[in-house]
Amino acid sequence: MSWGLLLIEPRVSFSIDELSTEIIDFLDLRIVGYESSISKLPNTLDVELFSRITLTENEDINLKNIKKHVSNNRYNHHFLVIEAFSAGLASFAARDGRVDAIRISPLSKLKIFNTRYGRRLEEGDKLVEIDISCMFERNFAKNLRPILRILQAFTKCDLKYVLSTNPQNLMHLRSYRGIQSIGRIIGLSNRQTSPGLLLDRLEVNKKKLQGKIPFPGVELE
Amino acid sequence: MVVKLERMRYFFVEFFGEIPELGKLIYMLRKQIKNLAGEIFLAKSGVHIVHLQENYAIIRTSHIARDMVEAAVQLIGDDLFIASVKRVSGTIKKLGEQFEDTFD
Repeated sequence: MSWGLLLIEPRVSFSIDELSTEIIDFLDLRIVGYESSISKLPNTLDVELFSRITLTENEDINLKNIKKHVSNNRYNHHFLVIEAFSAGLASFAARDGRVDAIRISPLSKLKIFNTRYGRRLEEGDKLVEIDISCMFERNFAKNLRPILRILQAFTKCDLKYVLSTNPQNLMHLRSYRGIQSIGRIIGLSNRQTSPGLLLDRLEVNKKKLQGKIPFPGVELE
Repeated sequence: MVVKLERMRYFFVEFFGEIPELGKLIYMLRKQIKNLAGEIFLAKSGVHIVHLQENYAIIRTSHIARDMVEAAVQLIGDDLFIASVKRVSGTIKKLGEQFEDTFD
């Protein structure tokens, strides 16, 4: 089952020239509704929207038909993420050039996402998306434990991370600086979770969708 | 040069949505820090709301609890409001200079 998400990046200009707020997070517009969510944002915001899709492994999406799903969705969205629960699909996600990121959630298994797998992600230049939505719940220790164990296994690899709170409501959106502060207490530095890593990837994908990059390394003006 | 063992950090926090009352805000913040790091850490952090006005607040804490309090501020927001840390400073004077227009 696919689910459409949008990345909202409002750039708010306050009276202080130096300061600006960037909210970079993914809002599930299937739940919130596009019209209601955008109309609630103040008019002063310069909102830049990117669409993303997460392919979560289930009965419909599996190793047999994942290539079909990836090719169908690659040129409709700016950011393609795979959430794998089996070794086969995780392996495909690590080596396929069309996949931008791998999603790590409390349901992810250490058996699959180990140091060896981390090195493969490093070679494939993949981003690792960490779902920290569990930290907004009351008793989150049980759900946070699998993520911490996977992060511990990935410490030997030089990976780039993207943090997401997986908001279901506009009021659950947080600025990326705020999300980074939550990331710091689980052991991810600001350098590892820099928003620039995500924005660079989105800019390249945006050009690919516009046809400006027909092949990797070739850019048309 | 003598350096204090415990140095202060001041957070400039901005609120979006419904502005919470002072009592509710300090209760939620202390509860969140306790939830994240425990009662002993809460005692060490010395968290205190210095100023609350309109849509912003200034929170004071010890430098050892800087990261934890910043994370707790992000986690306290509910469906009614969002709290966002704009700037962290070592002195309230410096914070005042950066937010001249906002301060009274």
